[in-house]
Amino acid sequence: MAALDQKSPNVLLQNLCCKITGKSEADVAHQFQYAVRVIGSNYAPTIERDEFLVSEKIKKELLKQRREADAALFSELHRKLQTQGVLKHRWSILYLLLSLCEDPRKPSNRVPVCSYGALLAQALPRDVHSTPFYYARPQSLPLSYPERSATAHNSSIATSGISSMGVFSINGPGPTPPSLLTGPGPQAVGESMRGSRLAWTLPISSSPSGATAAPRPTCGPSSSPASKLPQRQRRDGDGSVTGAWEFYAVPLCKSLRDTSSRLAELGWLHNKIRKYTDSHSLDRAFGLVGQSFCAALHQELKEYYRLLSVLHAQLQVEDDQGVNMSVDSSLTLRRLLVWTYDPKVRLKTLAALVDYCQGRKGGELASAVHAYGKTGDPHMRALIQHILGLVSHPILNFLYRWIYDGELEDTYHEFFVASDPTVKTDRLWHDKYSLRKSMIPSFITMDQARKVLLIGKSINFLHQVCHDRTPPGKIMPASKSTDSPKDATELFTDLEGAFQSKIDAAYFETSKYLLDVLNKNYQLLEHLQAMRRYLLLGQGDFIRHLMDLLKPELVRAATTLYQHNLTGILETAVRATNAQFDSPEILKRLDVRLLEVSPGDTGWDVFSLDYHVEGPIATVFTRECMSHYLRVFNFLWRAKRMEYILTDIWKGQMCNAKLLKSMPELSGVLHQCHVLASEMVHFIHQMQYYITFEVLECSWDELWNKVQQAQDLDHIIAAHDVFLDSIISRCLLDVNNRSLLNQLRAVFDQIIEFQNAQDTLYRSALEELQLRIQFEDKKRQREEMGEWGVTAEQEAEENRRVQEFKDTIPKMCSQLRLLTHFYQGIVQEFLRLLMTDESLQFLSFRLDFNEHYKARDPRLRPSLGATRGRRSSNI
Amino acid sequence: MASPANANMNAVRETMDVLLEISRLLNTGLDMESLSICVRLCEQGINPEALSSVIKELRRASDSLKASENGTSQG
Repeated sequence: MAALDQKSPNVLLQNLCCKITGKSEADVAHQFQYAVRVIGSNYAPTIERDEFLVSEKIKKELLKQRREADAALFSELHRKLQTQGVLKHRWSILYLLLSLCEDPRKPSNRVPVCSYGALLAQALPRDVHSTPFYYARPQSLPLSYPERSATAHNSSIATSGISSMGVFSINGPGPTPPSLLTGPGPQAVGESMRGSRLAWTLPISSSPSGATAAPRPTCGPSSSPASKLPQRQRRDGDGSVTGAWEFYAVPLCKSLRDTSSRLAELGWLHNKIRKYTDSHSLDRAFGLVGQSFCAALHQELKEYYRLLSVLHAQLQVEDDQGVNMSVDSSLTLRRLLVWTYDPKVRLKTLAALVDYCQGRKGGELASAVHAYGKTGDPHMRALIQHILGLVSHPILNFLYRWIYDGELEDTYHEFFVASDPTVKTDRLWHDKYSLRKSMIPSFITMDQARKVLLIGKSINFLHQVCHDRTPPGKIMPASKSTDSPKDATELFTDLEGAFQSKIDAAYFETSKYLLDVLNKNYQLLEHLQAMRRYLLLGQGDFIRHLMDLLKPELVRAATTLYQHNLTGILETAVRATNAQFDSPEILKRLDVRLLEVSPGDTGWDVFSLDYHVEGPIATVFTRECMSHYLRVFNFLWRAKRMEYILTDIWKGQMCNAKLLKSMPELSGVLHQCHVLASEMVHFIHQMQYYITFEVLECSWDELWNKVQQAQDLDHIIAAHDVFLDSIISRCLLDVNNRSLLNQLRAVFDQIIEFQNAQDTLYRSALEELQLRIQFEDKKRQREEMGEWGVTAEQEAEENRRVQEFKDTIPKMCSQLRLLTHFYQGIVQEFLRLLMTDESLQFLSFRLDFNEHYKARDPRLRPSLGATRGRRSSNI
Repeated sequence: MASPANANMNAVRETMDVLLEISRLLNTGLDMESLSICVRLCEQGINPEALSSVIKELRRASDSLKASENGTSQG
C-alpha cells in the first residue's frame, strides 16, 4: 500500500464495493449507489469521538470472548498506534474496526451478531434525536446543543433509555449477550446515568419458560444473514413522532412492535412534561406558584429517573454477567411493560395536567390543579393532592401574611388581592385594595375571599390611617404562618373546617379591633350622632335659637353677609342652648358655610351649617356623603324657615285680631287671611311631621341598630349609605322627584308672598288704627278742654281718610284671593304629582286626610279613591 | 529530502501493520486492501458508523447472492 493518497471518496468507495463483493466495477453499481446514499445521508457521526472509550470497548469485547491475551495485545498495539501519530482520525478507524468485529465462537453464520449490539449501542445518540441510524439529521447532533448538553442529555437519556430499547430477534437461548453493550455511561453528565444508552438485545419471551426460541423462526438470524436492525421509533425533542422506523429485513412481529411502542409512550410523556418544566422554570415572570408547580413536576420526574436508573442497573448486571445469565431474571420487554405501568399512569396524569395548565399562572394554576383532583381514582387523587399542596403553598403564604400582617408582596400578580399603588391614604379603604377575581383559587369561596380582603384592608387601614401601630400579634394572639408545604397539604384535608375557622377568627378579631379603635380614639358613633343633631336639625332648641338670632342677619342681601359675623352668632347660639354640653371635639367641627351667591339672593338662600371631618372618620363620611348631608340640611332648613314664618304670621294674627276688632270692615279680609294661613300651617305641619318622624327618625333608628351590631367597617359604611339614600329619596331630593321638589319650592315661595302681603295689610291696618285712635284721642282731648270735639272739616277729613282706607280694602281682598288661588293651585298640583309616586303614599295620605282637596279637584278623585278604597279595606 | 518521506512511509507502513493486526484480532474479515481503503475514507472524514453499515450491507448482499448461486448451481 502506498502512501495515503488523496483519491476521492467516491472512487475509494467504489473500490471498496468491488473488493467486498468480489465483482467488477460495472456490476456493483447498485450497491455503490446504496453506499453513496447511506454515507451521504449520515455524514457526521452521531456519537462522541472518544478514543479511550472505543478502546475500552474493544478490550471488553475481547474479554467477553475470553481472549485476555488478545486484549493485552490490543492494548500494546493501541499504544503503538498512539505513539506513531500518523493517523489523524484514530477514533474513526478503531470504531470502524470495532463495529466490524466478529465473535469467532459464532457458528458459521456470517451475521455479525456482535455488531448488532455494537451497532445499536453506538448508534444510540446522546441527544434527543436519538438512535436511529439511517435517519440522519445532521443538525441533530450534540454539537448543536452545546449549552443544552445537560438538559438535553437528561431528556435524551430518558427517551433513549426507554424508547431506544432495541428489539432484537435473537438466535436462541444461548449466546448473544455479547451483543449487550452499554453505551458510554462513564461519560455521562452527572445525573445522566439514568438510562444512558441502553442497547439491549432482549430475549423476547412471551412466557417465563424462557427464551427458547424466537417467536418467529424467520426472525432468527440463522435464516438470513441479515445485518439489518430494526430501528426504533424515535421521537425528537418536541414530542412529535418523526421518522417511522423502518424495520429492516428482520420482520419483526407485530406484538414486539406494539410492546415497544407502548413503552415508547413513556418517553413521549416524559418529554412533554420535561418541556413544560424547562420552559417555565427559567421564566421568572411565571411567579411563585408556577415555580412550585414546576418543582413538583420535577420531583415526579426524578422518581421516574430513579426507576430508569434501576432498570439500567439491572441491565448492567445482566451485561456483566455475560452469557450465563438465567433467563428468568433477565429484563424482558414484557417485564419492562409491567414495571413501567404505574409510572406510565402517573406520567399520563402529569402530562394531562401540564396540558390543562398551559398558559395559567398564579391562582388560576391552583384552580386548574384543584379541578383535576376531582377524580375517583385514589392514586391519581393522591398525586394531585400532593401537587396541589405544593402549588398552593405560596398562595397560602401570601394569604397568611396578608391577614396577619397586612403585607402584600406579590410581584407577579398571583394573589387574588390586588393593591393599587396610586391611591392615597384618604381613599385607602374604598379604592386601594380590590379582588382579582381570576386569581381566586377554586378551593377558596367568594365569601372567604371577601373576608380575606377585608381583614388585610382593616390592618392596613389601622396602620396608615388610624396611625395605630399595635403589632398584629396583639390583635391576633394565635397567628402563625405556614412554613412548610406540609401545612398546606394538611389544610386541604380539612379545608372546610380549619381554614374557614382561621379566616373567621382573623376576621372577627381584626374587625372588632378596628371598630374599637374607631369608636374609642376617633369617636365615630359620637360624630354620627352629632351629624344628626346639627346637620339634620335634630337639636331643636339650638336650631330654633339659631334661627331666632339669625333672622335679622339673613334677611339682608347675601352679598352683605360676613362669615365671621355668622360664626359669632353660631357661637352664641351654642352657648345659650343645650348644645354647649356637647364635647368640644364636636363643637369645634361645627361651622358656618356660605354657599355660592347668585344675584338677588338673601341670606336665607346662602346660609348653611357645616361639619368638618377628617382622618379615619372621613372614610365613613366621604365627600359625597357630606354633600348629601348638606343638601338635606338645606331642605330641612328651608322647611323650618317656613314653619318659622308661619308661626310669625300666626302670632301676628293672634295679636292683631283683638286690636282690629274695632274695624269691622277689615273682618272679611282678616278672615281670609286666617283661612289661608291655617291652610298653609296645616300643609307645612304635615310636611314637617312626615320629614321628621317618618323619614328621619325611622331611618336613623335603622342606622343606629345596624351600626351597633356592625361587625366591620364595611357594614357601617353600607348602612350609612343606605340611610342617606333613603333620606334623600324621601325628602324629594333625588332626581326622580325633581318636579315635586319644584312644586314644594313654589309652595314655599307662596308662603313668603303671603307673609309679605299679610305684613303690608297689617301695617296699613294698624296704621289706620293708629290714626283713628289718634283722632279719637284728639277729639276727647278737645272735648275735655270744652271745645267741639271735632270740627266739621276735621270730621270730613277723617271720613275721607276712612273712606280711602275702606277703598283699599277690596284691593287687599282681591290680592289675597289671588294669593289663595295660586296657593291652592300649587298645592293641588303637588298632591297630584304625589299621587303618581308610590313611595310617598304616606305623605299624600297625611296631606289630604280628610279628602278636602279631593273634593275640590276632580283629577285627584279617581286615584285617591282607588287608594282610599284599598286603604279602607285594609283598615 | 527522501529521508523524511521515507520516514513517513515507514511510519505509515507500521501504522497499517498495527491496524491490520488489530483488525485480525477483532476478526473483522477485512483484508489489507479493504482496510487501507477504509483507513483512507476515515481519514477523509467519513462517518465510521455509516461506513461500517455499508460494509455489512455489502457483505450480506454478496453472501446472499452467493448462496442463491450455490443453490441454483446445485439444483
